[in-house]
Amino acid sequence: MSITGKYLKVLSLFLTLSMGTAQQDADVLRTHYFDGANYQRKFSNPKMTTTLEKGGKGSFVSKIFMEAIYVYKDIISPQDLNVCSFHPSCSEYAFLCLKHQSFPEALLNAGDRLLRCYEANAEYYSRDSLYRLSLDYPDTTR
Amino acid sequence: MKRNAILPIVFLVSALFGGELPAYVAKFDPQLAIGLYLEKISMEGEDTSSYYSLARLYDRTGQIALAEDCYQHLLYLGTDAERVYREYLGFLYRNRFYSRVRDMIHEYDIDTDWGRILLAESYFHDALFDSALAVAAGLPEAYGGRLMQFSLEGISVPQRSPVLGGVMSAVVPGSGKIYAGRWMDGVQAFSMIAAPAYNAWYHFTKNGTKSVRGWIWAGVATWFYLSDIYGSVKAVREYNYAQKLKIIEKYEP
Amino acid sequence: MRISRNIIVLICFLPLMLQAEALLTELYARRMEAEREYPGDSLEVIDLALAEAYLQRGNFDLTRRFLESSLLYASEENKNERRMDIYRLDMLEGNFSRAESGLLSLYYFSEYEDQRSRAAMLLGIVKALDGKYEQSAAYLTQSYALRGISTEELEAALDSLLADTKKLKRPETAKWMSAFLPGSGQLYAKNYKGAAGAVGMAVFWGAWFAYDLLQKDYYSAALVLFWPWQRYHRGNIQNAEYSVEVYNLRIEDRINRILLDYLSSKE
Repeated sequence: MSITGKYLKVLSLFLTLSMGTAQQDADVLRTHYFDGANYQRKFSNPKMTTTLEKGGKGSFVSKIFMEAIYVYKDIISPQDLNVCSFHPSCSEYAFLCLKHQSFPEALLNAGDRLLRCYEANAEYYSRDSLYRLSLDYPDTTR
Repeated sequence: MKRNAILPIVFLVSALFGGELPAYVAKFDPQLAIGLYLEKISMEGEDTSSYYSLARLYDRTGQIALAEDCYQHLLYLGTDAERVYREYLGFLYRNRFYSRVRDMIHEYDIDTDWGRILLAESYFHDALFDSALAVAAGLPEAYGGRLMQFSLEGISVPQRSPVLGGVMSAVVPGSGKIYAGRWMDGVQAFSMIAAPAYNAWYHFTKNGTKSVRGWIWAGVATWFYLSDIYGSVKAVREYNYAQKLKIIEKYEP
Repeated sequence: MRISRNIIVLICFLPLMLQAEALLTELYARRMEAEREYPGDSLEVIDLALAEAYLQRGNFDLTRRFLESSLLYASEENKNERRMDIYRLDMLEGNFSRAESGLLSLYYFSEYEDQRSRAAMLLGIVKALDGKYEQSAAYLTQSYALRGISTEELEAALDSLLADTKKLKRPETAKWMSAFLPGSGQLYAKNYKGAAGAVGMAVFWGAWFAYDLLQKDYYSAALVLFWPWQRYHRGNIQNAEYSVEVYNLRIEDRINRILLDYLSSKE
């Protein structure tokens, strides 16, 4: 057998032995299952479908409204039914508009979103595969 | 910088396989392959083929800024300029930076056939059909014929006026959205403005202009009315873009 | 030398990064050589080692890719072991039904006792993660019995854990409580923020409704009753049900962590 062949056999034996002492099933599951994103999502607010990161270059008034929307999403929205036919929901859309656009434009954009939010709007938008809702993100490039 | 003993092994392993290892790893784990290419560059010095592979891997993993750094460095190195231009422009085109494609073609004065095709297609994908037509007219028939035909179609696509949409919504709430092709949105907007307006009228007639609730409902109705005008202008612009997009998508081979 | 700052930073920190990646690089090099010259046995082992390395890094897509490749090259007696590794990965990703169906077929039809024991162990864990503790206890006991290990200690541990399942609450109770007294369902599930929100909304819309009635403004009162009040009342009931589900999930999470700690300490 060539030198390379012997080397490979030794490596295979080493790997097999190391596999034998590798983590067992319960240990693997204990280490990796509880930190998964899918699992953690079960404990978080189901109405918060988009991460609402505070920040942005908005004015003071925009920041107040963003805080108000955040408090609404945290405390009041869970008490309401899942009535929004869009993803992200209308309050999350308003939050994103306030973050990325000027205050007057965000106000008008959010109002326009409320006017468009009804059950039968599916034909005007593409469908989100996860939530089965109409996809409509605001323009955040400016 | 102080190195540890592991790196010579990695280098040796890489060298034993004649530099093929990073390309092999790239088939499975692009992030690890990026690390190996960077290590190869730091060990062996400047190597243009590694930079090309690195740029392609950064593009594949979505690290656009780093891919661009690689291409900029290749431009700086200055070897085989035409190949760099082609790969860099291809990268910008794939990532839909059409205006940057045009800027670069003009900056470096790229006057080859493929440069002109790319220029015409970047105009076309940005819906600038008249410019696309002008550039495609100078191309050979085999390359430019189809592009000219679709550009002509794009120029003759019916467009609607966003200003007219806004004015219609100001006169009759919701009519601007119907003009933009969304009749359900228009009907919904009309009812969502009419309902709070009615409530405001109800409270004002019941309690006079001092009625707080009347003013609140009037404020809501005004907010929705102004939002509808804004939304109609936006919807007509989207309608115009959707008509152009139909032509662009028909062109895609 | 005109080189971007990002590339300089990456090259300088590479020694620290690559120390962790030296094993992966070595394995890929061996895999490349094995593909060229020695197909078969060594690819099975190398792919398994790569899958194990990626599992430690938490990259489940590549783990699955290399496990499936290892399964392709595996000898007959190792194929079931690789299949069980893939089902274990399904459990990590939360695909319990897929893992369960595969493990059941291995449990019933495998010829080797140690494979049946491992399948039973994984089935027990998957049932526990899914909340079906009695079935889980049966499979875990069976797994120990197949390995010839005494099950007394396991049964005692499982009994004490299963006693905690009596603390689980029924969502229907919370729904009925919230239907009659807003916020009580959330209090039953110990969701104090939800209870405050529920009481706040009920008081707000109720006060508005009552004020309209006192002002003899029946149109506005009807508008409040049939639009926001009923929506928030139904939402409150839904939130009470959800609160109980999260309460139960927290208890099950604690039970599952203790169970997995116990099982891994005994392996």
